[in-house]
Amino acid sequence: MATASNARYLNWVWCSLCCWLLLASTSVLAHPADNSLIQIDIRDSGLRVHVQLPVEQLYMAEPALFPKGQAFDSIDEALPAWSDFDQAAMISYLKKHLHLFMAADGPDPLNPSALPRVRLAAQPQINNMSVVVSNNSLQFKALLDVPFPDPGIRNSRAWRWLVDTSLINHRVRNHKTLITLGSDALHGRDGSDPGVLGIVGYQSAPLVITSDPGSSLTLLTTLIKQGVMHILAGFDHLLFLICLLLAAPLRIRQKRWEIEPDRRQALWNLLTLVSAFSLGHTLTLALASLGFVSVSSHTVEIAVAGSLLISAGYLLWPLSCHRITVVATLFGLVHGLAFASELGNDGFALPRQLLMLGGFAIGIELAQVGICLLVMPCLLELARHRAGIYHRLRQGGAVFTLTLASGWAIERTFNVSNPLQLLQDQLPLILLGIYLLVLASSLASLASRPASQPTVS
Amino acid sequence: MNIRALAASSVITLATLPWLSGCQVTLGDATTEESSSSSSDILTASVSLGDCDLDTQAESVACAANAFLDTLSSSELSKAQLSWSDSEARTVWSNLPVGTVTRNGLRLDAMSDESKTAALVLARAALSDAGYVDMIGGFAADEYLNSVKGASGYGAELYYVAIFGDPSADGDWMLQIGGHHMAYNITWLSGQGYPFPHHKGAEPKASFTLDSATYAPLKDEADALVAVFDSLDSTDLSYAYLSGESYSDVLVGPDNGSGTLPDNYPSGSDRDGMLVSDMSTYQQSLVKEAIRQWVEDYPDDIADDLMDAYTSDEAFADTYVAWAGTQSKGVDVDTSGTYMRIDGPRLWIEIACQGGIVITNETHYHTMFRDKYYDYGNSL
Repeated sequence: MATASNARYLNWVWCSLCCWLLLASTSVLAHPADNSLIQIDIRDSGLRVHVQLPVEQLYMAEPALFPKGQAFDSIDEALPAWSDFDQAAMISYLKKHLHLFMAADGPDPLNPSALPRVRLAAQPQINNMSVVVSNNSLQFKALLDVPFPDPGIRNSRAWRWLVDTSLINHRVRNHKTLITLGSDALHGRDGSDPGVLGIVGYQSAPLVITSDPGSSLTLLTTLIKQGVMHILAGFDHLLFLICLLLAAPLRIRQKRWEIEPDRRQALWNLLTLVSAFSLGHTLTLALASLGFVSVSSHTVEIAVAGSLLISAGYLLWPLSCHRITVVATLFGLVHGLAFASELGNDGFALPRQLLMLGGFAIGIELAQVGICLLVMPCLLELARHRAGIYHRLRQGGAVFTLTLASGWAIERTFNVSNPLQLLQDQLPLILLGIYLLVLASSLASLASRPASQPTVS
Repeated sequence: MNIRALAASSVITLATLPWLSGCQVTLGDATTEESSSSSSDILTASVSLGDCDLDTQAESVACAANAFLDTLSSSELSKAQLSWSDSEARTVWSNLPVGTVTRNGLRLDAMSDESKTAALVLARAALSDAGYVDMIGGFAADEYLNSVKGASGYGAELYYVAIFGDPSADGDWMLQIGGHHMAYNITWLSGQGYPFPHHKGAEPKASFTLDSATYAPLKDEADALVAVFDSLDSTDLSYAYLSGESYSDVLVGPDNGSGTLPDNYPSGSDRDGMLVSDMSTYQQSLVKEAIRQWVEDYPDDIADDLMDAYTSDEAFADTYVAWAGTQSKGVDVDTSGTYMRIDGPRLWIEIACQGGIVITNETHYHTMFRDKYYDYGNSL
């Protein structure tokens, strides 16, 4: 019991600390002369260009783009009017001021203007144009897909890419654009860690992109790391896994949880639950990332939050004793769809897709096994010898998960900012704190009982 | 170009993990909170040069710099005194709050009272009377944002002092004093001081009252520059207007650790505006007054030569005053986007009016004072 209340106390301490830090830092985040961002992904089929332009400066450069633009008291009031930009004018503006070239090796690789070049598609596909609030300012975002003119050249490493932008700074002379490289299919680089390529300003020479060649092995290890990090940093999946683990050493009798007296059965529960979850998410991860299944990521994110609400609720009130392995599989299917949206290997050639998928899936399983190995011995020890504490932990964990999942459900369903953002920002520390308390309690339990206690099975 | 420094000050939002963005938020400077109680000491301290009141400014300031260094412990010294040959570090300074861009040196709120006093004496020796008042006004503006407007990450003691090399009256060394809206970069080469690049900004830009003292650190500067444009008739005013150009900030802003002199001054036909030598004597005197507002932040030993160089007939024959912004509103500092500059053969002064950050219904100033040839004493 002490454990659970300590954990709650710790939550409060962290929560108030993070509230304070967050409030303390919000004013620092805003500064008016934001730079633009251009991220280039080099894919098998062409270049994908993510463009982000600060609306205030875009308006300064080309007021006609925002016929309804005007000053507002708050950014939330401003968003609808500024989102109503002139779509056609915006498309021609992007085409006029952003040019992409392929360049062969020239006589002077340091001088971009000396490189012979081929203009990439004069008519890029422009998608997902929107105005969003980011870091307390309005940002225009768009996605440009620029197909390669000749599929033959894409495998040649002798080619380079040139980015020539005068977006905003054709007029706003002080404006700067930060250009980064995301994924690079031609050199086996995934997009998890965009590298800064350069900063361009008024009348800068076009930026030349040359990327470090990477091997299949580095791509695989990068994707494994990405998979591990996706579980560790994607708290919804982590919490779902923890809910499963909390249920493993239990059984349902008369619509109540009680400790499973059979240790082997508890381990079997663990194995089946985690395997069922893995089976489900691996299946949909593979299907969705290879393009066989497509569900909007918005729907998936809502379903993930729903799966958390249901499992946390179930952990409090096990209304029926239907096979929870089936439920774990079903929810696994949902989480797999979410993993797939994170993987983003769309646009790569099939062998590379399979390699990335494999690496990512291995990473996810590694993280899962790691968490099981860290957490499960503690849970089994507490369940067996400190049943009171265990039930508090189960209830505490369920309430905690319900709370966070409600935040996500609200955020994702209504497209508003997460009301529990402050709590979420400190989750790594909170979870670590709770884990250390659980570990300490189980060690204390282990130390306080005779070394070899006969178990009844 | 030091890409990493600019990238760090940029907001990369295209690919952030929720985990990372959580961490970024907490960067907002956990050590800035305790400043408010003792800050008034800095604003009101009466500072005299004492034993360092010597014959030349070069001697006085070297004496004050060494006196400051003498007050520091070895660990403080390792932060405050940096290598003269580190050109990249010498070009690290910013207009942004200190929680966003890390400055060189030791911060006032981390100093002992003795070191803090010595730091103020050093600033007193490096600046003129008017310049010192402006610096204190800069501290006060940040304190005002914090204690009156309740914005955190700002405060009178969130300013840094860094010294590059070994200060001496006839050697080569450099002094940086900086923080939010403030960057003094004063280089001494064989006893000659080069006080640029110098960035000053101000929010609030109008005069404000803090602890019953009144401050207006950039009002004189801006007013003097506005007076130049106010003296032009409508034809000349539209001639001085930078048609087709907008400025959301100063053009030649922070060097972000580039280690080199900036290369983005306008050149050729981009050097536009009203030529000072084409103005009337009275208008030229207004230009001279405006230039004086920046140059005379420094003692006569430095300022006299600079005034001569920047305002000679020869210089004025190649000096343009220009402005940008909403042309129909004229040179109105209360309109976001209003921009003014003086662009000479060496001199570069610019002032940009941006929307407020804390006081969002008012504009605020960013200014630059540079010498195209002698920034950092041309010794990078």
